[in-house]
Amino acid sequence: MWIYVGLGGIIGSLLRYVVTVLTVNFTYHHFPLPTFIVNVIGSFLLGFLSSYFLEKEFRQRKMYAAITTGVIGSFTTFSAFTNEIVRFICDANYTIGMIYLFLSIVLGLSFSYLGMSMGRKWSKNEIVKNRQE
Amino acid sequence: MEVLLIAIGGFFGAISRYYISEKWNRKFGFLPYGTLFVNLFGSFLLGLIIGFDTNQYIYSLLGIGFLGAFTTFSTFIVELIGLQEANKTKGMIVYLIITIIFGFMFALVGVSIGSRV
Repeated sequence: MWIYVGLGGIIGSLLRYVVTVLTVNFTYHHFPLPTFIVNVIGSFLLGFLSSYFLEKEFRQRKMYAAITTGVIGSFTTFSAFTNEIVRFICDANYTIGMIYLFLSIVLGLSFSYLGMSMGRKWSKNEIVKNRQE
Repeated sequence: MEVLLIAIGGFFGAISRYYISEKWNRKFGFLPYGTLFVNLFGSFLLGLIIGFDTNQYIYSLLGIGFLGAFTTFSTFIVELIGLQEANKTKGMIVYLIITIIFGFMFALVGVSIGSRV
């Protein structure tokens, strides 16, 4: 199992790097846009997948662990998030630091909720469809 | 070169997180201690590397690759919602506050130790 998670980790980390490269020119007031984007998108995706496959009784456990724990777990990151907040505090950018902290948590939770309800709806629709056929 | 270092770090970071969370997340009922541990310890280690002001290759391998993958934000968020949906709102709030405050403090301690070494 661990090898699948590791391979997922490679993909997730490289995707995070791609986001960093793509957004580096759009940084505004030192706002850590790359970390912010990966964390919010990743929260949405993990919310979606965890509820979608819960309903469907996903049987391919290895693939599931590779994608959720491996790819998405490594795509999002917490260590960069906390160290960016430390940076804001050390630079006395308290307002942007607090906005960054607050937005990451609130949007992370909101998008994850959204992903979960979408996942539930999609898998239920598919189950109904399969029964009708 | 940078891409290769990030990939290697990400491979081992994800496996280490998987190992720790499999071991600790279900063992204790109240909070997902495995995720809490990787996030706090990872914040400390990244602070250490940032404070130490190491070269770009080591930062790509350990900072972006290993610790980027070792720590996770999405699992933390989904676990918060899981606690709330299991009617453990108190647990959710405790988990949120502990992770944020201690994560920040561990990172701060890491940076200050790293910059003094």
